Amino acid sequence: MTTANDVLDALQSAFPGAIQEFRVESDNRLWATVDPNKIVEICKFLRDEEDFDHYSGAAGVDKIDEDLFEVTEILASHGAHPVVALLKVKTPRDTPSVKSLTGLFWNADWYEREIWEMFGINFEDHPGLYPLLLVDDLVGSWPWRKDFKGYPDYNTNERVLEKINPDGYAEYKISPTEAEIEAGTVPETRPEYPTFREREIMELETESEMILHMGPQHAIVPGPFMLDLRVDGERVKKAYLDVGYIHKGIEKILENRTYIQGIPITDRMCYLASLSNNEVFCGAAERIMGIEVPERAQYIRVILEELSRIQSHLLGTGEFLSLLGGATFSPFQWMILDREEIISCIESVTGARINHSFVRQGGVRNDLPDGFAEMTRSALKTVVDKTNEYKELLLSDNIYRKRMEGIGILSPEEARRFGLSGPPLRASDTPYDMRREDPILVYPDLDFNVISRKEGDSKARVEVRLDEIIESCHIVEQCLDQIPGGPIREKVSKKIKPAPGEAYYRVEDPRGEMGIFLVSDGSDKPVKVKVRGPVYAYMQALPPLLEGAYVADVVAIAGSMDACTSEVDR
Amino acid sequence: MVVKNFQLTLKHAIHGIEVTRLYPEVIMDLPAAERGIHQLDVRTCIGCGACARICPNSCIEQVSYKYGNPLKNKKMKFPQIDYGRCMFCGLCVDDCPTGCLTMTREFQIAGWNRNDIIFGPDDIAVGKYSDEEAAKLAEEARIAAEEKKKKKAAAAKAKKAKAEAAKKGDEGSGEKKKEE
Repeated sequence: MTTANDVLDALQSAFPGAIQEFRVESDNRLWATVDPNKIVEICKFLRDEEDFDHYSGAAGVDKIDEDLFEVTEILASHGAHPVVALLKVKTPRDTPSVKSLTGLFWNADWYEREIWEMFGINFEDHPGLYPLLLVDDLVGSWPWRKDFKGYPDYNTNERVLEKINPDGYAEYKISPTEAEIEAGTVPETRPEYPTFREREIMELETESEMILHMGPQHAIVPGPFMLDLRVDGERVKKAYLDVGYIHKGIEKILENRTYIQGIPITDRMCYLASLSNNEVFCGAAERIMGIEVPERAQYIRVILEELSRIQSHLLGTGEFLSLLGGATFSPFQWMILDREEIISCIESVTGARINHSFVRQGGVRNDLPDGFAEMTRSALKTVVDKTNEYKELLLSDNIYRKRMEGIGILSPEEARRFGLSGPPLRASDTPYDMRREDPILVYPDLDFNVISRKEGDSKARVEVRLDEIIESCHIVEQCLDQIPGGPIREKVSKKIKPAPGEAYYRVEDPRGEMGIFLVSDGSDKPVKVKVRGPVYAYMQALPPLLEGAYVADVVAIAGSMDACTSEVDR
Repeated sequence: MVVKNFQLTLKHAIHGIEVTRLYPEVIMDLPAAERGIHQLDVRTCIGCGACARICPNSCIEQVSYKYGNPLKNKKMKFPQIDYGRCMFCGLCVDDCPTGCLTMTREFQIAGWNRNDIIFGPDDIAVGKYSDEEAAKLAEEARIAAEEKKKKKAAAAKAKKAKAEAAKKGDEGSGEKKKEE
């Protein structure tokens, strides 16, 4: 099996002198600072020779003390080996510019756009640096820099131009500084994101085409995003996606909260996966602090996270079915009923039904109550019986199969190229699961299968979810049998101050790979928190997936991804 | 397969799952761990303000409360919680050193305006002192304060005496020095 040391040796022999600094944290984490001029070649080498075919994301860090920006590229492999390579590129703070990886990895597009709009780091050779999450007005204020003081703020105040548009609203524009123009961060004539009318004029080619607006409020997802479909008759020619309608700035909020105070904030990224979000935030801090969680606490975390996965899949599938056929596929209400039982089990431990804030650095908040095992076992029995029933029901329903089979097919190569993870990737014949690849907590001791399907269509994605419910029930039952006694929290001081350092910690969310890149400088607040969410990748893959589909199938495709816009925008 | 689906429907209809909840009249069973409205034991609260410091939304404010224990400190402040901001994370409860702040199963909060859902110490307090007890405590506090005053006076007197004695001693030693 390839380890981090092997990758490092290969890199050093292929590019002598290009690795400026390195740190091998463990067998599956490699940190390296590389020469900014060679980052593209190094990534190409890793992709082609060392099987790093999964571009997990990128994170920007503002090192204001050293007068530097750091961009960390996170690369991993789809099952060939468990190494995660974190390659850092440094760039001066007054002329920030790094090379774009969009030529190598298709999904680098959005991650780089986000870093550009938040930090003002230019990406050379990027095809279109439009703002992704922010409005056009905010470009130029660079909100994630450490010297940002609000908008329209004190440090850009003189450069803000106010313009009253024809509708009577004030529009602001921040003109770039000379240094920024020189570095190419903001070109003087920046392409503005087209409005709906402009897009109609720009994109429509023939008389028979039109643009169909879906969103920002639409029934297919429980959150706002805008999908513009260029349709010719019933066929979708091209789809344009615009996100950022509920950008909450959670990563910036976390920078202004202590490690303990940050836990309830992470709940709000996605309410169906709040336990996984707690886990990933606390786990990253634990990695930096170097503490081992007591075994009982690990079991409690696994039990709750698997229960949380069950309820998420039940709601996701049920909601999707009700959207798909209105009243025809009524399992939604049944699944809600099943979910209530699971939620009651979680509530008896955490005390809340949705936003749990339960995991703590070094353990969990409180112990399991008396009678939890019996309650959970009976709830799991109901869920397994019912899920088998649903599977049978869906398999035997002709209307359902006609709507779902062969719709929105993702080939394994495409799914990997899009950077997907979780059920949509596993439905495309790629058994890639963080619980196997990057084992955390007690998952290595547990017996479970990674569910996958060969077809890659909408039906397969729903089937993977239903099968995962049963598999999760199996995991929880094992945990309930094996759970040892003992303490539930490692002794951690009340003021958590991790040593200076950084960590990348990832877990299997109900929807896929959820990772947090955390940087600490030894104070009680994190310097940078970058959330790599699974739904971000789903959303990015949506426009190419919808091309060529029928308008009526758009819901069947987009809904089968089980997207959560709140997590995309964060 | 249509028959099968109907079979399932019938099965569930006959088994009679209880779906409708008679909500305001019958509230579902909530576990002991439920994180609802706070409860403050005013007899054990020491007014340290740990809850106010840990709150991520800074919804807790320390305010003075006239029914607080006069024996401890009349100026002691108690938490007032703004439920318009509270997200029921429970960090304040975890951080309370005496365990006087707890969360109950009560969850129904509604008001006509924002000020109605700001709960002062009086709204969340339990174990409030009755008027008699408060009077008794006030009396005790007065006696304690008087005793303290007396002690202080005595201590001051003793100190003065000591200082004088020391002065004398100093003078004495000075004389000794002179003699040498």
